Amino acid sequence: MTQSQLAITFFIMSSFVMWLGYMIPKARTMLVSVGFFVLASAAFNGFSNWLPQVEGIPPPKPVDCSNPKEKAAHPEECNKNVMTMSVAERADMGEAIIFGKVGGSAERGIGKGQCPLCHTFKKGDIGDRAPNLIGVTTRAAERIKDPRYLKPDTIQTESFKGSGRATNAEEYIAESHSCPSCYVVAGFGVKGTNDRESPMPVIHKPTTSLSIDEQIAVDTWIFVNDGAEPPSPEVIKAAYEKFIPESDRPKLAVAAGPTGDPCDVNAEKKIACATDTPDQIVTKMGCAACHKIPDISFAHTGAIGPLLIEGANAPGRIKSPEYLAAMKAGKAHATSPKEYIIESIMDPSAFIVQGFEPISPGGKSMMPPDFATKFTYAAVSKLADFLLTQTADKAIKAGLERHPMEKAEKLLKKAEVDLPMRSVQSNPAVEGAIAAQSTVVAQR
Amino acid sequence: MLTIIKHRKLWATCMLGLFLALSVMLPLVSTMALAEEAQPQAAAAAAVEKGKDVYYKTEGPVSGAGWTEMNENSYPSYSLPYPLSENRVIIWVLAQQHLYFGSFVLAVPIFCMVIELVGLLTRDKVMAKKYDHLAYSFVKISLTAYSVTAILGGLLLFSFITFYPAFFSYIAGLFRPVMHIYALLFLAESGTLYIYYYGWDKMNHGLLKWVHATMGVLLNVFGSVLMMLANSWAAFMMSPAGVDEKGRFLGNMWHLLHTALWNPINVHRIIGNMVFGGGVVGAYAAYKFLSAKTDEDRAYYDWMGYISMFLAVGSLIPLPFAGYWLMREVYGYRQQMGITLMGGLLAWLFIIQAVLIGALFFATDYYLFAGMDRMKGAERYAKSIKYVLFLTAAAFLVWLTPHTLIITPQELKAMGGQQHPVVGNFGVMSAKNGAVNTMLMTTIIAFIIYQRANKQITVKWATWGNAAIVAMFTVALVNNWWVAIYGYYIPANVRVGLSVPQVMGTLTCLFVGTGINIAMMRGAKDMGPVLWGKISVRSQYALFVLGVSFTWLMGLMGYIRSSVRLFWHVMEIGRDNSPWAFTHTIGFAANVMTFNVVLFWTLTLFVFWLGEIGTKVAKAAHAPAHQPAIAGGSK
Repeated sequence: MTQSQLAITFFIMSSFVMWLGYMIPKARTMLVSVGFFVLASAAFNGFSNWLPQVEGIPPPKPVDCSNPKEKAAHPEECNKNVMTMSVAERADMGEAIIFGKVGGSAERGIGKGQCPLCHTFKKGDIGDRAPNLIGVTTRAAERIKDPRYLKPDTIQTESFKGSGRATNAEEYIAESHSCPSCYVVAGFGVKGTNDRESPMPVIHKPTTSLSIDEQIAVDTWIFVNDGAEPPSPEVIKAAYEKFIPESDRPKLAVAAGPTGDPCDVNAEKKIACATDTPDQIVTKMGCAACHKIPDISFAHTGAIGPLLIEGANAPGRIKSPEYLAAMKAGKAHATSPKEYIIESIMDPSAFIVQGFEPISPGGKSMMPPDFATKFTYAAVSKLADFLLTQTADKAIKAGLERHPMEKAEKLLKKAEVDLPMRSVQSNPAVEGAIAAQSTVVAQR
Repeated sequence: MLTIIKHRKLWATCMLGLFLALSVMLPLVSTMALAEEAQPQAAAAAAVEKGKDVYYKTEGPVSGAGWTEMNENSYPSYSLPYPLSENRVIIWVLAQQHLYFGSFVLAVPIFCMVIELVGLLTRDKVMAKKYDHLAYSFVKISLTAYSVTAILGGLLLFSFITFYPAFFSYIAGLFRPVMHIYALLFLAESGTLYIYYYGWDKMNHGLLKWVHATMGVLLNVFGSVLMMLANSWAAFMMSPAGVDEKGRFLGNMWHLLHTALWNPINVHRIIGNMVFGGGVVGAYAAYKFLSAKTDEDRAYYDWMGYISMFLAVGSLIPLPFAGYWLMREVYGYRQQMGITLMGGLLAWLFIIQAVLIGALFFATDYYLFAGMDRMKGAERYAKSIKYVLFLTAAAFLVWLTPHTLIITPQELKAMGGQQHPVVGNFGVMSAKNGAVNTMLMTTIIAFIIYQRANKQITVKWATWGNAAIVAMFTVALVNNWWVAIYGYYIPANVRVGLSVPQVMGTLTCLFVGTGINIAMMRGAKDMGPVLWGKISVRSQYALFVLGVSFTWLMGLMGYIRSSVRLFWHVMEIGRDNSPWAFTHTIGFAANVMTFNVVLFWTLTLFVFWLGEIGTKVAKAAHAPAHQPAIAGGSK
């Protein structure tokens, strides 16, 4: 049931009960009261349903790559070696952990590390809750000479007994992550503790639980962001091992393997699964909130996005000069209508339909960017197949019109030839993007 | 039997003594139980493994099994259609209904106790009888609700055992002695409540009346401790203590109970229960008013509705401060948790809270102004009402303006961004603080106007008094708006501190302003009696709105508190590995909340209806004999 249908149902229900009350004098007070309570609740319900709807997806379960069984089940993740990556690859991995994805720093996304919840990373930004981390690699070298660092008056003065203190910038960063209270930057302590206690969580412990490999990537990005040469992964690893005792070192939190459950991909529960029907997928993903889809009766009111008659739209769009330009720019990769649909769902900003562009140049699509974390491949493939069956004729029969902003598209009155259904040849670029995104740590 | 009747004072005293002894014994029994537990641990101290408390950072002997990692099989469920296929939705509904009824039956005895004591201390015998009857009516309403609470508690318990067996086994293992004390306290509370209710007529004179009133106090002590014990489980799930990183109990039961958020939750819930209880009784009075057949009944239930509204709104005043303390402790415990609440995934839910609070202020102001119809002389203030309502409406609009709008690309382009260039400025915290304080002050003004509606002030210093009140409100409002505007020009961390002068201004108006007004009412000449019952039918729907808003608010804030754990059963110790570990959308949550609110009010109306049957029988014995006076005004 869509939001508007729900609101109308509540309204009709309450009106009916109140009308019944006026018809039955003996039960009038009771029925009118019930009707009024339903009406008042429905008003609050309607408002709540009008607000942005976001689901909080839990991060993947940690997988113990030291366990042979788990390692065999997740070869790609467990064999990924941060020590052999290039600096750029490590920095990209770090950016994805901090901000949710590569390039996420530009839009201050929030990744598994959750750092941007409190820290800022750009010159001039004011960090209200925690220091701005731009320039930290330079400041770190000075901090370790600070008398407050050398003679700490904090609730914890060593990461663990005998760990010692930091002697260089990288060790200072590693110590800050492993023992935030070992040194508290003036003014950023827990209120009332006189900067003796840090509000920052220990990064290798829950809820963040970053592995040392992940912290190596994070620190690399911090150095790169400062324009400084990052230390080698071996040096960073040694710094963390100095401050994290063996027993506390967390497992690598990567996606786990298939369990036979159609909704389970890489140990992450997806929302749209192989066994779902197109109707169910559209319901679960809330497509009807923005789009109209002819064959789905409850998806006839969405007025934000384009009309989804992909049997008519997709073949034309992948041949359009705009799409070809996006391909040339390396943003878009689809070579068939089905791939185009899948790409539009999993990476909405790869190509934005004319008329729906963001106002700022280079901006992102208004479509939720996290569908890649919610669909199984089988589900998105099924939805794409279904959308290819949606044609202009069906839209006309259902009494639907294009969105006024779809200026570049044909009018529905014109007859058009339906695209025959076809099996899609796999496109490594698109599939690669999907695979990469499906393993991206889902964010809250 | 005859002996008992003859010596009822003696028997009553004995019974009270027995309950007092029981109340003292319970903590003693619990201490003994805990001491017994600790003995074997102490004996084997040398061999016992030590663990470090995750919160207190103290060391203790590992005294129990830790958290066992769960998988999807740990959550047996029925093959029910969505959303009932999610065990948590069933638990959600049952827990919410249990909490609604539980809050109601905990709050009503507080009102009962206060009103009975007021009756006892009132010299006017007619009014004393009236207050006594009102207290009796209150407890009568809660009696049926008490049974419903117990039934829902049982259902909830069985659902936990069957839907979350591994989780429940862990929690029960930790809180075993507390759960037994909880059950014993429940017995004690039930016994006290039944004696309190059924002994009302028998214990209505002399010493026995005082014994009865003391039992009212005892009833509240049992109820409050009961609630605090249950709170300790919820607080442990949010901010565990008394266990090590693996979730193993470290032998100190006090640490397990006294977690970082336990006391803030206790205080917030006690006050919240009073607000909620007032709202429900107010709705009951409105319902009875609407169904009343005689003027006498209408007068009585109109008065009851007014008192309930007064109690609910009065209790609402300290609630934001308790909420602030809770949130401060949340930030202190885990900053990420606070940010998830106020600036992250759950932040939009606070916009709904804002709308609900706005509805509360509107309903209250409307009810107070509608109530002036029953007072001769109130027409003098008719002119000023529209200004007060205008200010309330303007502040309400600012209060509910969201920062980011959901709009079409066309609108986005036309507006130049997701924030409107003018209205978007009202979406920030600075504007919200100004707006909510304005609404609070207009509600205080509405109450002051209501108090003096049918009075002719006779004190010599009336002009100075009026000038002081007007000056106080003017300064407070100007200060509030100026600070709100100034807040736009300073960083957020400095801006937070600005709420202090705003709140101070509002509180000064509340306490000093109403204080001066009450002083001015001394010896005031009545321009006519309060014609209880002569109030519009529409006003009673304002009481319904208050009831629904409070119910919604309670469901919403409970959801926020619970869902801030995100994918953890026990924060940072026990991960939720169920297939439904994700956080639902606001819309889904709102649908469940709506269902809960409608279900609760349907059940409550049923309870009212049951109470009505009893009222018909007992009416002759407790018929009101006199028109009551306005609460807060002089007689």
